[in-house]
Amino acid sequence: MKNKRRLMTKEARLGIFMISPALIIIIGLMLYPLLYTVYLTLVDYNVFTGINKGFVGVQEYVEVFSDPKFWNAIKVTMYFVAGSLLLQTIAGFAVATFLNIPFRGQRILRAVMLAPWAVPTVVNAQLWNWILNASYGALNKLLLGIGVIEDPIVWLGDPKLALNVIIVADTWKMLPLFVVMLLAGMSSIPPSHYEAAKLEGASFWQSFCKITFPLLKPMLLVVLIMRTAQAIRVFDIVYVLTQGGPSNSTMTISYYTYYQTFSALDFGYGSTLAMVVTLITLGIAIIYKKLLNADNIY
Amino acid sequence: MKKRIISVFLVSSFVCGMCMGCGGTDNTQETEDPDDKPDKLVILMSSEGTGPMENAVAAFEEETGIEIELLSEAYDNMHNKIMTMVAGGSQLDIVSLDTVWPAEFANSELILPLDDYLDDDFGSQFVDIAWDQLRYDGKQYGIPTGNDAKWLYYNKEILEEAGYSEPPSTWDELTEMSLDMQEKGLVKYGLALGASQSEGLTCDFTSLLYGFGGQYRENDAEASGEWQLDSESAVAAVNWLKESLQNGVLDPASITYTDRNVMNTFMAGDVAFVTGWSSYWTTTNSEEESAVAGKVGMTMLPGSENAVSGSVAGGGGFAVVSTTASEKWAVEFLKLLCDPDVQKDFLSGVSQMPTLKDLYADEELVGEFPILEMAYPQYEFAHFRPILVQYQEWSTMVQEALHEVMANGAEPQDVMEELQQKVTSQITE
Repeated sequence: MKNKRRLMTKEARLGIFMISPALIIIIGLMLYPLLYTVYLTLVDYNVFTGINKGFVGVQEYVEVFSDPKFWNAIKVTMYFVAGSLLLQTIAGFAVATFLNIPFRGQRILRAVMLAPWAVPTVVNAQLWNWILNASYGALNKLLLGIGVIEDPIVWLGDPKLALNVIIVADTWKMLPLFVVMLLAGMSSIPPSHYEAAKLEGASFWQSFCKITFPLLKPMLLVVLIMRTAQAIRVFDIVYVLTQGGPSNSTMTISYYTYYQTFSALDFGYGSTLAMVVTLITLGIAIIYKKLLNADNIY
Repeated sequence: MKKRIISVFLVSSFVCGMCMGCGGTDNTQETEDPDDKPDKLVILMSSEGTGPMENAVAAFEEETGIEIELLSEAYDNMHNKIMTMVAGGSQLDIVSLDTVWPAEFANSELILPLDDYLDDDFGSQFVDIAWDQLRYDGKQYGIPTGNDAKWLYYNKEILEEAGYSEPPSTWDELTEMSLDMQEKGLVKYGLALGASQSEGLTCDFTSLLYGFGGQYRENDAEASGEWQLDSESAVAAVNWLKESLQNGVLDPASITYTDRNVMNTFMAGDVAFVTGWSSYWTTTNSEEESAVAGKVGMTMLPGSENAVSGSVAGGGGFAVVSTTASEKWAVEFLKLLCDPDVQKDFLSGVSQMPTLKDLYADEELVGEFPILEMAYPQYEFAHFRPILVQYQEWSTMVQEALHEVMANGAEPQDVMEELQQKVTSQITE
């Protein structure tokens, strides 16, 4: 017995040693910056002069929560998250269902579908910048050409339109992720389920609602978790397309954090905003995890 | 035991590495021997000017043997790039200094005052406005290299076709001419502005404000006194913006343009007018890039019955970063940029207007570069943006207010009253 215990500790020690490089990297690259950010939110520290005026407690947090621009940014971000996830889920299901039907050229189409995923976000944003340009953009030219509109629309200049247009641009890039994951899920559903449903006289829509969707739920949740965390931190596409404008209608929380940190030079305030974003993302991740655990379909 | 030693070694070397990495934020300077030559100086500048800068760099390298690393960044990202480089601890010795940055940078001790290295009358060789705008708190923080303002660029051909021999001298005249030219089918819109939510919008507003006879503060010359953002003239200026969007004088896409890409619309011949910096002259007249090359006119920005013209002072120069490897040699490089030949390089390369007084009187040069003569009258009517430590914050407030009007259709009077209140209560230094 005694011998065995010693063996275990020895093994455990070896284990710890083996994982120590990874552990050190994780601590150095994740834990340390995280704790340093927390520290920055609690002190009055000028990173340029190196002057630390000491501990100020939760003052920065109070300021953040009483800042109307923070709440505007939260509103904009939530709208973006909800809008883009909804659009991408619906479109993802539609495209995946279509690509799941065997037809000639299916393989080629599936491969083509992946192309936007390979485009870097900033390139994607530049691309849409040209498409959406009010004077010489492709979209206005198309719509004017077929007579849908009479005057060019300033897509990115109208506070009511800009965020929606950004959601569309984001969807173009992110859709492949949904499609690929859902397709993978679909191909794992045994065909016998559908055959049985057919025998019972179920319509396409019925078998989608009763078979496809419930069986894909765990897969969908995984994608949604990944995408929610990503979407909350949306930055690059806003940076390229609107810089938060017009009239702050696309000022997402990440962009606002960036602005406060590097334009207004308030590292304490920026760090506090970043902490708040982290906490929100963490909260959502926990909720999703609960949902995922509750679902034991597979 | 051996393993433990190895892991302790690993951990400690890693921790040491991290501490060294963080050392960059510590800006305390070690005493340096002034004659000690650094191996290398790093310069960060706006990407437009890198071409002409290369001659100066080559000359400096040859003369001193100090290597120069020239980094460039799009103008709109400059401010943040400087911040991240200095905060991140990268070597950076010389940076572009926009006219609105000295107060903020000096206040956070990011750049050094240069007075100790300059003779007392060093400043007298420059155009006053260029020299003065890089001063803060009685100290000189930058050496001016570009003497910029905004001008009205117009398409001569379109104006002639519409029967106009002269560009407009007031904003109302610009409106009339634009509507007329639109009616005749010569242009899509009259004027394009770079009015997206960024610094360009603040610059155009400054021009409009002074053009309509307004000013920022009660005592503008000394940057003090009550704010006057809700004055009759200020509201009139914003009103003009709003009306111009409604009646089609102003390209509605202006709200998405920056003060760089707004040129594209003008160069495509879609609009007759654009407000722009001196560098527009070279770009809009370049055969490769512009469909209107050779047809471009440059004149003073319009005024109103209360003012002949109003423009915004721009340009700027270079400053020495407080974490520099060598103050002395960094300043030496800055002095080189005041060489007439270097300034001529910038003039011919990117139509950056010189800051040396003498060059404007150099007949040979004026003959070669007619822009010098065209540009000069505007300086008399060019105004500073407020000199504030909180400049970025102030400018954002102004941009947001203008977007309230331009994008959301808010009432100019209400918006400017609110802006006046907000600025008075929140901008304190």
